[in-house]
Amino acid sequence: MAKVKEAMHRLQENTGAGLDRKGKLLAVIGDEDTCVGFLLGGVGEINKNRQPNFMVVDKNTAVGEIEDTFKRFIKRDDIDIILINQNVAEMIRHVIDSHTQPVPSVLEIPSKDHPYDASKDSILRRARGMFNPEDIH
Amino acid sequence: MHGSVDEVCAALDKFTLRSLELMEEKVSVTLQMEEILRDGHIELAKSRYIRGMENIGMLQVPTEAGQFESLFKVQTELDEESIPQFDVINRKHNDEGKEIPDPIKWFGVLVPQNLRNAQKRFQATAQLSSKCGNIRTEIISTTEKLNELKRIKKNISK
Repeated sequence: MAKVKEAMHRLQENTGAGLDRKGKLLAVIGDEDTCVGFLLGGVGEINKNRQPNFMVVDKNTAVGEIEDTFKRFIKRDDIDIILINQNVAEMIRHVIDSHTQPVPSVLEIPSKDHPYDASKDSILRRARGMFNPEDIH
Repeated sequence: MHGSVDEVCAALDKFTLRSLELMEEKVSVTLQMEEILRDGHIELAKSRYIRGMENIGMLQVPTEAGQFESLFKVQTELDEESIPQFDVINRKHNDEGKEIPDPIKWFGVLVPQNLRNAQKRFQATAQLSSKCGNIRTEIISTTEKLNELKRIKKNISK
């Protein structure tokens, strides 16, 4: 049974790799628990240039540092999805708002002590901006 | 492109409704993610209680390149409207065909069941992120279409 599963995985990998053989990564920016959780899940990777695809943010982390890491993740061509804790996203809101490209996809996720607030989510605020009262005739 | 104001207005209505639907979908998927993440955090806390505070944290994560590789790969394809579609694939072997070690082994050999449950929850969230990413790209493209239609409408009514 295990062998069949393994073969299925390989098949999935090979067929899926038709377009982009290597596949891209998910990146995580968040508090320690979020990072440990996702790394435990198997999302983490350190590439050959010793650059990790995750960043742990604690209360001593400077906003500039988060900003730099976020910008670096956006520039990296091997990252397609960036998961960021919403409370961390709040700290660098202007940078997140200015990222309007579909790839990499920046997704705001709730953290352990900050529940998800849809009114803060950049993409939803952008979509909501479409419904200006002055546009409705 | 569009003949009359009516046609533009009909298209505007269609995309406005779609955009509202997408916003609702985005919120519901994120809330679903929140629920799974919450379970994951609780399982992680339970395993910390069993193994001790210091034994489950960033200190157990290797820091050297080549020591760990991602079990997930994001495949991005363009659909017929050139909107990127993400698909998160779980893999067991790296590009060279070698088996990728399970990250749970960083935390010891006999790990509590709770840690395995936590791993499953976070993996489920990673899988769900592709769905969320797809909604995001669709929101972006719908917003662009709406902007374009509004511009056309303004030009026609001038």
